[in-house]
Amino acid sequence: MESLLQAYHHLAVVFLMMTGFYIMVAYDNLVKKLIGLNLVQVSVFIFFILMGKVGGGSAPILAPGIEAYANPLPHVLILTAIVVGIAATALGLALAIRISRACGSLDDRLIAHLERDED
Amino acid sequence: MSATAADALLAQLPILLVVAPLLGAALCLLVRDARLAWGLAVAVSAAALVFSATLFARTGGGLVLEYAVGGWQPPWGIAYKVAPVNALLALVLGAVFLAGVVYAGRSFRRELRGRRLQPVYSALLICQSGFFGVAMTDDLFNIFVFLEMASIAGYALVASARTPRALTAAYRYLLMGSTGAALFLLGIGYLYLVTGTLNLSDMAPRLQPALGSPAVVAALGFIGAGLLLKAALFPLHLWLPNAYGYAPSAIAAVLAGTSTKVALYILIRLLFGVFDAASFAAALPDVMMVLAPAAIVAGSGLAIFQRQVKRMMAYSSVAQIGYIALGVALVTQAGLTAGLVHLFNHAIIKVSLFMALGCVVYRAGDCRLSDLAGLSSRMPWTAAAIVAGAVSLVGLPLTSGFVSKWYLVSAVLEANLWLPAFVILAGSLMSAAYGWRLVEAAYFRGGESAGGAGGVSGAGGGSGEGGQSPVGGEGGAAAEDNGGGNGKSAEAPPVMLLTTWALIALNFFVGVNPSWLTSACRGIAATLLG
Repeated sequence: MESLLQAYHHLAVVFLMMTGFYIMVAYDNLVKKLIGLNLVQVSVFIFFILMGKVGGGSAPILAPGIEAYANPLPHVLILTAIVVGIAATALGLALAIRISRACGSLDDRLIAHLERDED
Repeated sequence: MSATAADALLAQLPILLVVAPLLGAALCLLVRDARLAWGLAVAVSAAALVFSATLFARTGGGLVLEYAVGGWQPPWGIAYKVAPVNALLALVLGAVFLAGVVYAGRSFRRELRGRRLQPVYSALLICQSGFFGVAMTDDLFNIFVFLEMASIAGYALVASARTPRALTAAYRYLLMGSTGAALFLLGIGYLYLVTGTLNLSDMAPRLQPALGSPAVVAALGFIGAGLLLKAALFPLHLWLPNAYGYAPSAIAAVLAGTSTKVALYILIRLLFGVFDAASFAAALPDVMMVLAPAAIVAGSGLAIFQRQVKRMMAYSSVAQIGYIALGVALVTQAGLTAGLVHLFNHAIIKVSLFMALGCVVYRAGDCRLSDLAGLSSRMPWTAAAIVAGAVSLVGLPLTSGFVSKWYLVSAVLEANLWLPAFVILAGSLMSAAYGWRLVEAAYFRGGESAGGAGGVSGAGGGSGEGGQSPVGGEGGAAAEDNGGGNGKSAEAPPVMLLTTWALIALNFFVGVNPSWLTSACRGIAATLLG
C-alpha cells in the first residue's frame, strides 16, 4: 500500500491511459477514438516527464550552490514524441473529414456494417 | 578514386541512406512535372539500393561501420552502427523500394488518375527514409522516431487511393499503429529508467544486472505488445488486410515488403541484442510460439475465402509473418536463421505478387477473382507472374519459398517440435489451395470469353472482352491505351512487367543459389545469439 502511495503519480498515468483505451474501444465515433488515442499518447508523455524529475533537483542550468539537477533528456525526447503525435493526429483528422464526406458518417459501427454488405 | 577516399565515402553511407531520400522527398514537392518527381524518386531509390548493397557486401567481411551523427560520440550522441543484420534489412528495403518506385510510375498514373502525384512520391520517399533510419540507427529512441516517420507516411500512402474503403482502412491502420507506437514508447521509457541510456550497444551490459526486475518485465511486455501490433502477428493483424487490400497497388507492394518486416527486425534486435531471449525474456518467444502457428492457420484459412485478390494476398501475409515469427520464437540458431531467410524471401515474393496484381488492376480496374478470368490469354506474362508467386508461397523446389520452408522445418524438427512442423506443412497445403484458386481463375475460367478472344488476341482484347469490366471500367484512357497496343495482347506496360519479373528472377535466383543469403543469415543469427 505504501509503495502504491509513493507511486501515486504513476497511478495517474495508468488512469489516463486506461481512460484513453476505454474511449478507443467503447465509442463508435471515429473522432472520439482519435481523442482516446491522444489520451494514451499523453499518458506516456507524462510518464517520461515524471521520470526526469529528481527529488529536490533544480532546473538543469549550471549555477553555483546547486548540486542536484532534473534530468532534461526525457523532456527533450518527449518534445519529439509530441511532434510525432501531432503529425498522427493531424493526419487522422484530415482522414476523418474525408471519411465523413465519402461515407456521410463518422460512426465506426455503421461504416463497418456498410462495408460488410459490400463484401 | 584512391582507397582512402573510397573508405571515407563508405563511412558516410549510413547517414546518406537516410538523408538522400529525405532530400528527395523535399525536392519532389518543388518539382512541377509529376514525371520529373518520379525520375527523382527513382534516382534516389537507385542510389539507396547501391548504398545498401555496398553496405551488405562490406559488412559481410565482418566490418562494423559506426557513424556518430553530428560528431557527438556515443553513448551520448546518436550513433549509427551497421552490422550484417542492419545491412540485410537495408538490402531488403533498398530492393523493395527501388522496384516499387519504378513500378509506381505507370501504376499511379492509372490508379491515381487526374491527381497531383508529387506529394505521393514525396511520402514514399519519407517512408523510405524512415525505414532506412530504423535499419541504420543504434539508438532506441531514434528507432521510435524513424518508425513513426515511416508509419505516418504509410498511413497517408494507404489513404492516397481516396476510395471510401481506403480511407477507413488508413484510419484504422493509424489508430492501431499509433497505439502500438505508444506502447513501444512506454517500453522504451522503462528501459531508459533502468539503464539511463538509449544507445543499444551501451544498454545491453547495463541491463544485465537488472534483468528480472519488474521495470524490465514491464518494458519487455510493452515493447513486445507494441511491436507485435506493428508487425501484425495474429491476432493483432486486424489493420493489415484492408490496408493492403485497398491501398494503391504500388503502395500495397511496398508496404507488404517493408512495414511488418521492419517491426520484426526491431523485435529481433531488442529480443536478442538487449533482453536475454534465451533466459530472462523467454516469456515473449513463448507467446510468439503460440501465436505464430495460429497466424499460419488463421491467415492461410481466411485467405482461401477471399474474393478480392489483394485482400487474399494480405491474409497470406498474415500467415507468412507467422512463419517468420515461428523461426524467431525457437530462439535457436537454426530457427533465427530460418526467420531471417524468410524475412528476405517473403519480402521478395509478396512484393512481386502485389505487383502482378497491380498489373491486373491496371487493365481491369479491380482485382476480384472474376477479374482474373481469362487472364492467361489476355495478359500471359502477368498470369505467369502470379503463378510464379503462388508457387513460391507454397514452397515448391527452385523457388525461394522452398529455401525458407526447408530451413524452417529443419529448425523446428531440430527442436523436436512436431506440432509446429505439422502446422508449417498444413499451411503450405492451404497456400496451395488459395494459390490454386488464382491459377484456376487465370487459366481455366473465362473459357467462353477466352474462346472468343483466343483467335485474334488484338481484336479480342479490344472488343471481345468489352463485356467484362476491363474496358468498361477504365473509360477513355484505357480504350486509347488498348487502341495503341492493338495487335498485341492487352498486357500491362513493359516497365511494370519488367520490375515484377525482376523480383521474380531474384526469387528464383535465391531458390537456385541460396548459399549467399543463408550463410549471411547464419552469421547474423550466430552474432545475435552471442
